[in-house]
Amino acid sequence: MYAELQASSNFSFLRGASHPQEMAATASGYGYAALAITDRNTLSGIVLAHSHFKKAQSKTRFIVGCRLDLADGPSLLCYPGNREAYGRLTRLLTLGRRRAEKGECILRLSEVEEYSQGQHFICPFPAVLNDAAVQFIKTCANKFHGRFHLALTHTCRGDDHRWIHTVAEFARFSDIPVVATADALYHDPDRKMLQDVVTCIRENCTLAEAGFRLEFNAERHLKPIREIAQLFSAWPQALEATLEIADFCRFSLDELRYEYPEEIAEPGLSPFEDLVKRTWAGAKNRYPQGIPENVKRQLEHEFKLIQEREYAPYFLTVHDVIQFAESKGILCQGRGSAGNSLICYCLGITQADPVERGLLFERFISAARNEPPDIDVDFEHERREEVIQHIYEKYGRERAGIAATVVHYRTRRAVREVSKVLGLPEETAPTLLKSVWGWSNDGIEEQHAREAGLDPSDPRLRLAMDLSKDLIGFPRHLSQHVGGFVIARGRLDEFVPIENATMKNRTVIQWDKDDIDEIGMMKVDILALGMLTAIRKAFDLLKLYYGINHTLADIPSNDPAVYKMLQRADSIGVFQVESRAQQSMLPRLKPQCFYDLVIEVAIVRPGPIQGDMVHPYLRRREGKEAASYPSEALKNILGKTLGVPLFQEQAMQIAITGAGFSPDEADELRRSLATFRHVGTIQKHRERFIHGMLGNGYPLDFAERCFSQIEGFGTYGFPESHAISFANLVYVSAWIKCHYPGVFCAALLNSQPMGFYAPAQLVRDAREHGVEIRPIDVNYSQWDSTLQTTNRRGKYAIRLGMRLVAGLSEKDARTIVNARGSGYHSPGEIVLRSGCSRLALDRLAQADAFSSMRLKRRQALWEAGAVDRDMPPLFRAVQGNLFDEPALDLPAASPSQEVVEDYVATGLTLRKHPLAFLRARLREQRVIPAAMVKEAPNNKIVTIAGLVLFRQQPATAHGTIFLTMEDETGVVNLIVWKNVQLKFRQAVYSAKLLVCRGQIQREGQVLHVVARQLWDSSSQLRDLQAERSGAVLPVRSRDFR
Amino acid sequence: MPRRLLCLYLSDTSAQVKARLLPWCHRYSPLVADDGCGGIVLDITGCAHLFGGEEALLSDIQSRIRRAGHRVRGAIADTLGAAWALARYSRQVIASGSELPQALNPLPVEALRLPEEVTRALRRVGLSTIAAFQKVGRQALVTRFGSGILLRLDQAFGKAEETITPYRRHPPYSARRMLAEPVATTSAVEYILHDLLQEICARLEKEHLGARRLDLDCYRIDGTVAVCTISTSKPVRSVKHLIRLFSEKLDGIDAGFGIETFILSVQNIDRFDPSQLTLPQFDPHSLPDSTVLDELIDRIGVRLGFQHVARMRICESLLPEYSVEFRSVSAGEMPSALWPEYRIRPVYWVDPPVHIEVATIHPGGGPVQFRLRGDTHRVVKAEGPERLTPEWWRLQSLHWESRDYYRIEDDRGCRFWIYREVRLQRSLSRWFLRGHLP
Repeated sequence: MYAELQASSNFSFLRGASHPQEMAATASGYGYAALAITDRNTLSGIVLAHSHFKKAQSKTRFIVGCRLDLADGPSLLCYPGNREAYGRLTRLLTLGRRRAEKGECILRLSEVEEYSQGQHFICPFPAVLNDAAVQFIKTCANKFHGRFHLALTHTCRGDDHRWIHTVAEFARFSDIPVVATADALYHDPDRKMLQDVVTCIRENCTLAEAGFRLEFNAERHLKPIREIAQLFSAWPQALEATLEIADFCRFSLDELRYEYPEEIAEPGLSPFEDLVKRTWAGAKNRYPQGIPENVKRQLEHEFKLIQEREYAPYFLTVHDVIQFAESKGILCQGRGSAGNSLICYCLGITQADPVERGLLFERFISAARNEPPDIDVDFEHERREEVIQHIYEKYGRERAGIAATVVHYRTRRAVREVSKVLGLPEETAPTLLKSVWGWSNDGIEEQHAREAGLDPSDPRLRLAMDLSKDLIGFPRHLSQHVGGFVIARGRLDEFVPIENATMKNRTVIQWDKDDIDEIGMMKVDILALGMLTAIRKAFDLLKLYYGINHTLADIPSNDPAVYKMLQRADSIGVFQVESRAQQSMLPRLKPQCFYDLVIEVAIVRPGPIQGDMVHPYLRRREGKEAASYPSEALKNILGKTLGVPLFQEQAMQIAITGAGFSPDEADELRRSLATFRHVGTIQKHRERFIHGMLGNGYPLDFAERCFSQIEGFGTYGFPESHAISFANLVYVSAWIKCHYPGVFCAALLNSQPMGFYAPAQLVRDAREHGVEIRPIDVNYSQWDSTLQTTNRRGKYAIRLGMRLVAGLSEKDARTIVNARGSGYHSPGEIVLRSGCSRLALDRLAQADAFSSMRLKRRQALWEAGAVDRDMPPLFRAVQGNLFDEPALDLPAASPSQEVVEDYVATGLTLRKHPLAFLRARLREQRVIPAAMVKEAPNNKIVTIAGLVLFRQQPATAHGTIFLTMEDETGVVNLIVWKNVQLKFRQAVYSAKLLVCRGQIQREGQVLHVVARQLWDSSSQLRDLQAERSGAVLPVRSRDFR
Repeated sequence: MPRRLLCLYLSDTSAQVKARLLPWCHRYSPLVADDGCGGIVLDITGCAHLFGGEEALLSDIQSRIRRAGHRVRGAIADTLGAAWALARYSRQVIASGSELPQALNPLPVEALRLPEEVTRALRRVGLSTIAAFQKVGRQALVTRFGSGILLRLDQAFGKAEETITPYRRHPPYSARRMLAEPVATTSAVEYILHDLLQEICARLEKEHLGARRLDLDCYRIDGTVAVCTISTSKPVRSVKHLIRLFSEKLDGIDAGFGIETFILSVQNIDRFDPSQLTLPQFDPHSLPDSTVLDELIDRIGVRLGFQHVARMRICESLLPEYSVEFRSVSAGEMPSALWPEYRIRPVYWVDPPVHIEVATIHPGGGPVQFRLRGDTHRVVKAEGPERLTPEWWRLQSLHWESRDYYRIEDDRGCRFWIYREVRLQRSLSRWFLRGHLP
């Protein structure tokens, strides 16, 4: 028998070349007694390996280990013998990580000694036995007497027998036991090539340059026991030692008992009692007319399950965070499956009543699934950091940490790195990647290469494509999860090492969210949502100018005006439904009630689109097709969505009811689709699913459609409760837009950057809704955009804020506003009184913000240029009078020039749209304005032109690109099919001003132009300036996937 | 008589092109300079009539440069600033005295050789031409843009002086001797050369530099020049060594009726830090003085051409076919790799490897005996295997899977380095002799 004690997985970044689970599978296959994964200064890979062994019910035991690279010596392998020793190891790693840069770890031998109780150590096989090495080995042997071995490793370097003998003899004379290890870097010799590649990536060199940095053969793999026995036949004691050590290291990750924090409960009450108390109090608020009977029953039901599972502290923790946010006036709202819980609703975590919506609590916490609940809460994006720091402060950094996100190699990065390492010409990778969008994990297919004009039979290119495919899915580094907090009752750093994130003041643990789930730890997602910021700012404005108090909970519901607005697709700025795809869905779906919004949110997702569920739903909704159900069982699941599965739960339910999956299996299926971790298992699930469906009498095509939809849902689908939470924000933001467009626009402007549209479009939309917009002015503007009274009572205009001015710092703007008093009369006075920087004055002048002083942009720039900040105050005071300059008549700017300058300085203009200046010329080219397109009949061929606002290539659209462009009369959406893209590539991808000849396609109120020919006409923008002023209209489209 | 300056605007402003054009321009004027803003300026005061007037001169110089394959535009004016501006921005390319304001005023502000941020600031307020710009009060300009702006304006209009620093042909590290009596014998030349070398090498030593290429220009009394060039493989400043290198070439100089002026110039120069002298008797490991070898290489190189001199170096590859390479000394220096001591390699390569027949194999992997050219060798001792896999990125080595190298000794005490090659898609492995070990 044999136990392998030294194996590095690919979590030893750019060293190991196999996934931990591959190592685990191979070790099980060879029948090892045990396998230890010893990655460098990290425990990131251990949960994966552990769960693999557990799921496979392998006889091979998993040993937790770690390779400690010391700052004052070589490396040591460390294996905790029990739970306490494991805690010491994680604390040791935390110590080393927390004081080093991100990704680094600084540990000294003396510190290892301090935390060494209960650990076993192995010194890796020495390559030389010089004084330093001998000294180190002997010191360790003394310090860790009785639990220290020296490793012997056979790598076929030629003199192995002689050298192992030398080392073994040295050990015998020094009375140090020896142990055999493979020092494996990969599970199979086939990975040698990939290992060479990652070595080169690490060393930042090409394979040709790498030389002795590469391994000289493929021996660093896990070997069959027979082979190992033969290699070490002369040292049987080294083989026996592997089993002795494995026997000593009995610690298993199953022993980790996660405990929730306790102190949040009110003194004298148990956490559960406190939760009950708080919930009833909350329920009274939620149901002021008295708590209905069914609500009471539901609460009791939830209490029972929570008490059984002892989840009460978790709810209290989340409630505590929410209360903190409320006390600071930070808007927040729970999303995700927490929406299924009535307790969460009563505690104010979520905003939609699950009883009213008929949501099942079991989807949040189920008796079947033994896994902790997961509550995700959105906070205002500008103020989330306050909440995060509150958690750190309250629980301490040794008890709270953010979950890690393992950043994996994706196609782009993998192809780029592999091409570089192989020494391919520099332009090869970009050429190959031309047809690949950002997030692909599929690698490059032969056909892509051929399309890009490369020869896929070229052996080097072949290698690059094959190796990059292998590299995809390899972990690259740890990053922080978007907001998943893990909080423990005791020391979190005795569960898992904690390290620094790139961001200041953030600490992350070494496990990602799947690892946390596996171990059963609690996670609260503290997420950021820009729309919440905007809504809070809108509420503030409503209070200030209209004297109305509103919260997320008390917006008048079911307001027909709001739905009417949305049916018109008048939704710019409204949460979620403002995108192009949503805008074209709104008039078709015609939402009339809140639940329609829920569907609207859920339906425009890759999941339903890929599963081809959208059109059947729309047909049934319009009554063109009767809702039919393959069976009565499925009718219960699909009833409220007219027989078409649109939500994640429905897909899971089909798997359970239709294909006979157990709830656990269904959940596993969802997870396996979501991550890389279970590569290869999808096919297995698919077969199981289709078989199950057929077995239950469903037709094959229905089964296949269902599965393809589940595939989409895995990554992109919304659970119903989540869609409800989002729909709530859709309604709230739409309500504000509908009744207070000015407030809405100002709030959005003050929350930038967020959302789909840039300030220019938001302002334009507000103007179209009759809101007066006033320009930025040093004498009237605040930092934020504000409302100002108009002649008409109760009607306000927006005064744009200085935050729109490019390059102006908030500090400068605020000092200018604070020192304004009754107003400034000259640019010099501003600097004199406020002490703002000269640059700030210049930026404001560039933004044409001096109109109240009767200074045009050029005059203002000229005046601002003369202000000398370094002049002593006394001189500055008299400067205006004594050295009065003769008035200068600067040449006036042309109107088009002014527009360009506006865009340069603020990204928007209140003057004419740039295209208005080109209209005469465009008319000669028979280009018609967007407004006329709206009137043109279906199928008519038209030529249009506009500034490109968005380019979008949804993953679901098979390469079709959607372009949104704008002229002075409106916005037009283009559809560019793949064949047209190929012909007009440059225009599609990079034109700022696009001219398009295409055919009008109408579907109800939705209008698209299907492009046939496209031209990049950006050079015309340059002509907007009557003379060369250096600036070019800075139009930048936002490109989405 | 007013100063007349000709400014050339080159589309290709690379240093190489300039280095070639600058000396060439001497045919038009003794005063040629780099204008500091991407072009070349010639002071042609009093020169134009030699070429048939300014217009003729301008078209001559332009057409010659164009024929050499460069794009160029020239202009002539009283000031450098004006000529520079006209060459780049004006239709009118020759302007003098009173015409200047008229020629310059319509030009854009960029024509004034101002820093980019200043021109941008001027354009932002709408001052885009020199004319617009001149209306502004001088004090107002200074307040906003500093006094540099007025200097450029005045330089263009000839209200402020602008000096040009003429280009010199000989680089700074040069020495010259003008003789009262011309010399013709080699020994005399050598004597003077020695003198010149001492002068230059002293300076090089002081500044921690060394010469890589030297030119000796010998001006004969009939006005012709003989040039003798030497190069070295490393920076050198030893007079003795340099004299030796020159002496290889001096015989080839034809002194004609005698040489009256010598100019020795360093054309290529490198950093050369002084090195600490070692005391060999105290340091038994010290290598033989490497400069001796370097000097030898230089001497052979000067005779045969450096591209014909190669040195061996160890490469970072364990595969015998790639572990050593010959490298021409002219390709620049690359240190040998540090060979891992325990990798023992033969003293004599068998190249290409010779196939040997092996019938039986020890359990450890080595052969029991093998046949080489009809002789049977019984293996007494063996060590190995040293397993090497192909360097797969070199695509030519992809047809084998791995090689096991063994060191073996036969019953007669001969030692061999042999290997077994496992080929892809062929279960049979074959044995080869790769070298003889000591």
